[in-house]
Amino acid sequence: MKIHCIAILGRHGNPIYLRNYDAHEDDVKYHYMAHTSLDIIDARLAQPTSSYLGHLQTVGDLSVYGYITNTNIKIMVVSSASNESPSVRSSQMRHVCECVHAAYVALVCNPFNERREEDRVQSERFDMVVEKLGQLTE
Amino acid sequence: MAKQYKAIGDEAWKNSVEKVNAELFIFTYGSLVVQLLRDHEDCTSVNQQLDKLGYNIGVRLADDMFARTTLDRCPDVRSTADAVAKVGFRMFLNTTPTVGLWTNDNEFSLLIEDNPLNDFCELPPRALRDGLWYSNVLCGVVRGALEMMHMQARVWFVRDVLRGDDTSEIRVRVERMLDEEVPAADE
Repeated sequence: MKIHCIAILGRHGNPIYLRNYDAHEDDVKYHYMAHTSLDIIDARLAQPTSSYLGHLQTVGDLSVYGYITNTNIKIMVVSSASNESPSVRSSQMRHVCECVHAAYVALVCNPFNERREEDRVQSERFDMVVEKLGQLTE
Repeated sequence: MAKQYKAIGDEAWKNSVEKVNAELFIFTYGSLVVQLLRDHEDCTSVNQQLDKLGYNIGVRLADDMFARTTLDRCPDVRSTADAVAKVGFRMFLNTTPTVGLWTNDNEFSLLIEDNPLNDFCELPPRALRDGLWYSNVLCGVVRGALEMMHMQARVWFVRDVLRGDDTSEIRVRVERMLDEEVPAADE
């Protein structure tokens, strides 16, 4: 299973971070996918759920998995189909989302971080963590 | 002798000091540094301010440390260094730096592996460029504490993990003993 993209959207649906692991694909495609997943997340939130929202949608051969934090930050992971069983894939995706969440928390806790809600994430350490996560499940 | 200091430090940490939440402490310190940077704009003066802050803390901590432990007078600079590292740092920061890189018996380094103040912190490029020592307050603390022990010392940062080095290193040079009247030993 390969992770193609990790995206983070803010409280108002604004894109905060997008990491595209495919050299040949344009970022725009993943921005679009993340944005369309927002509606699905909103629908899911109608019922009480845990942070990990699981599989949101499938577009072609790519699946989108979602995770929402208590502060309404949405984390989305786009991956291609794999041979493992759904539960193994689900736990792997959950693990990736939780690691991204932990990295995001570390970023917010940085005393030099002066970004507000609407700003994009600009941090080398965060980039490195997400970079490693992307290679984790190949 | 070294083992004795370690035991004193561990015992003091376990029983004699009240603990505070680590995140509260490091966020408070982080906000302090950020505010100082905003006020001063120049990293050298921020370093100096942090050193002064640390000095004021250090002169008070020295007495506090002796009140809470069973330490005796240290006979020489080497045991002073051990006491600072194994008792002082352990009690107040719960980290034990390694004492090393001695020159001339009055100059040594404290190598701090896991400085709790550095958690979550990532220096912005401007601070990196201009030479900010984020934990410079620690230098002031050591300088103030040593001065209460009648040793005038120069304390400065050599390396810092936040700047990309592999470990944090504080260099201490005891320049002279300050004149004092030595009271007769009680024991």
